[in-house]
Amino acid sequence: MIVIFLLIGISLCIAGGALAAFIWAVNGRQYEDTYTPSIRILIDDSKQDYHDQESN
Amino acid sequence: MSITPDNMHAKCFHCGDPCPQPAVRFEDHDFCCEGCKAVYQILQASDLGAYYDMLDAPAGRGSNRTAEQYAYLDEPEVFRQLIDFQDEHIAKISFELPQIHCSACLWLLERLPAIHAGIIHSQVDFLQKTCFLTFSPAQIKLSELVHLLAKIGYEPNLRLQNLQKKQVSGFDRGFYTRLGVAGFCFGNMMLLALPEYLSPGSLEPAFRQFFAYVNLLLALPVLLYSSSVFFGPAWRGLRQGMFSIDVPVSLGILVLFGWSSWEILSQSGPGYLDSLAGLVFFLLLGKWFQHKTYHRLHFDHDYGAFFPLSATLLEGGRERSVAISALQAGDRLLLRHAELLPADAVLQSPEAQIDYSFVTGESEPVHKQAGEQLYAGGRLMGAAVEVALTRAVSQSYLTRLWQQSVFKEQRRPGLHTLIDKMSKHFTLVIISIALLAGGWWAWHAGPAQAIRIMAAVLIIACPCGLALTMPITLGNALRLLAKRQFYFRDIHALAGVAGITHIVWDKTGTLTSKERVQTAGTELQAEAPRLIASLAHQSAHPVSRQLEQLLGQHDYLEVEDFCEIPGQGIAGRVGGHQLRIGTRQFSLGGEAGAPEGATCFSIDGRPGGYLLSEERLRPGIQALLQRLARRYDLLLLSGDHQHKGEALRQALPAATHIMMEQSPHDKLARIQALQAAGHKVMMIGDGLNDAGALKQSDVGVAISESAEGFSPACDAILHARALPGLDRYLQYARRAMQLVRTGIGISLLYNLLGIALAVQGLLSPVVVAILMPLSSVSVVLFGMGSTYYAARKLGPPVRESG
Repeated sequence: MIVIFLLIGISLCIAGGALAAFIWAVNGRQYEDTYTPSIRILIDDSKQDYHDQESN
Repeated sequence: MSITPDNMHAKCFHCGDPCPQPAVRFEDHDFCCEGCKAVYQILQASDLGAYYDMLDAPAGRGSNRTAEQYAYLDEPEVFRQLIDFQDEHIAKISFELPQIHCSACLWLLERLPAIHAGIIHSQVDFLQKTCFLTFSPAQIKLSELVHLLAKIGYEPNLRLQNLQKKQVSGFDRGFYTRLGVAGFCFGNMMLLALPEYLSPGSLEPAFRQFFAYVNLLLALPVLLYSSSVFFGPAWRGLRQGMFSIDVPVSLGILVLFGWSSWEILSQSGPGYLDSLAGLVFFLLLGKWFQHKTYHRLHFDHDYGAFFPLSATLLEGGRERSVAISALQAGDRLLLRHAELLPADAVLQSPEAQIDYSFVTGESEPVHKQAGEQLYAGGRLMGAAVEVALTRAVSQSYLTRLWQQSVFKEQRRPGLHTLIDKMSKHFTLVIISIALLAGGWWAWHAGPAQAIRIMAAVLIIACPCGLALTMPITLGNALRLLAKRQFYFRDIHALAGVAGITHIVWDKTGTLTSKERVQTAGTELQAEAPRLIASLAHQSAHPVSRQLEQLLGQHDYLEVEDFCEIPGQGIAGRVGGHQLRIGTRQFSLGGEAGAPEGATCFSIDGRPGGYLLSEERLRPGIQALLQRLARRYDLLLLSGDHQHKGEALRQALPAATHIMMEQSPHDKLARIQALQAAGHKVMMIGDGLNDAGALKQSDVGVAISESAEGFSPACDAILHARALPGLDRYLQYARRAMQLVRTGIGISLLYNLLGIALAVQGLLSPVVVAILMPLSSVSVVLFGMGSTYYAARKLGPPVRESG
């Protein structure tokens, strides 16, 4: 049962990683504008791509 | 290239407007003007032509302003105040670009670095219509940057408020990390506390101690980092002698932590740390819910949001754009059509039409002659004029209106809310109960047990449910009202509605909708609309503009012998006919049956019909006022002339008090008088001049044609379309406050139950772990559910267009 000390340590580290990822996302301003990226993702990268897609 | 149905006019490839004959042609495309062609050329040169494939609505026309007109932006003082950030190499700035309307705009603006190498990065916030730019001042000057944006059809909305101190958002990123940390610690502590709850006492001591110490470790960030949201305001409040809800919450948190760490370190028990983390997490969620409001609505507009950033200064016969903060009394300005006068001035040109609707709400333009005083905030209609400033911007009439005491003091109507009032009594009662119970146990079982009991009482009495009730209930009510286009600034503003006894209306624009133009009289002959439009096109008078718009003609005939007689009308020869447009006297000689105030036109001396502009009550207003009059005292304060009052008196319920010719100061004084008599006043208005009254009133509601449009500082914005339902919304707001009281009752019941257990010494960590979340969750469920249920009567939510 002594292994439980190790397991709790590992699980806390993993959960801490998720927390760090969350803090990184907040500091990266990902929650400040949640609408514009939904438009941006639909825009193709270059003019050429756009025409290719249109002819399909 | 697209062709209009009549095959006469090509549409401009860039902006979609009809092209004149002949059109400007370039690379197989027609353009309506050189400006549009220039935008096309810029985009083609940077390989950004795909813009036109993506557009779903016509593009904005390029501005024809020159780079020199933006030169004032490069002055160090202006530059420093405008930019958000600067180091040796780069500068960051954000512009409001009202022209942003579709994904093509986003695409183009985020590809600005392809147009100019000096622009390093560009990012658009679509909902806020804002573009965040990083640029290198060494390669592109700020004036050049703005000029480039203007050239491609996105002229930034540069207003005086850009110069004023930028407001730091009260709800910052730090809050989200606090919430995240509390959630993380709460989840893990629950897991570690669970074995103790499931098999109390049978856990191996090594495990129990290990779990307890890990929990203590996890509780530290919750106490030291996440809880600071409560400690700070509580301490500041206490120092000012105010007892907000944060005080008992902070007390609860501190006692929970102190007692739990004592238990753990002395190995006398497992502590209540998981409950502590849960409490903080729930409370932060409540705060988040309360603040998650409509950040793209502006509740804090003052004149700075309306005033331009620059004006055209005349210096020795030359024109130069300068920042208006640099203007001084005595400066001579050139004011063009539709430009706003930034400071009080004297008219130098022979005459001018000034539209003060923006300041006073009065819709008719005022005719001014040379030497007359003009006030800041007036908008010039018609030909350009020259003015000499009599005061600097900060000394002008409109500006001083904002410097009155009403705006100085940070009046927070919600600070003494129901909850804050309760929390003082609440804390005192809890501390007395704790002391009494402690005294009794000290007498019977010694001091150690007494301290245990006192700690238990303070822990279980932590007003978690109490603190959550108001944000959750009112926060949800606020959201449901916003879906019906009634937007409140925050829950405190919503709470203020409950006590309202008087409703004060501002007439102009609030009760009436914009003027409508109607043609009446003789039928216009086939040629007539075109003749009239051609003549009206020559004049910049607002009535001429209205007329032209109404007739909807685009191809104009040549006008000969045009003359304009101020206050009378216009006349000229068009297509072989003699036309006169103006007052009845002017155009017809006063004999035809057109009503007073109508704009008449005559062709070759024969009556050609007339236009009548009328102000109408907004639809549903009469019925609304009748319903409101049953509950509230209604007052109408209008800046309009006395003679308009009679018509209103007949249209409105008899109980409405109508007072005409009220200046902004009169309105303010009137509201102050009502408040002094102990009444709670709601002011409903729209003009900037109402700003003082809106701010002074207990709840100031601005009526707006579009929620994102400009409105003065207020507590709530009501969409003009939603106005007829106002009585139902107010009733709902009152109902929401009743629900808050019920929610408070529920949470107090839990507290009572918990205290009853605590004073008897029956409070175990398991009971705390169940009772505390249960009280929070039931309060949240009640608040959400009941507000949704009560909203049935509100009618369906309105889908926002666009």
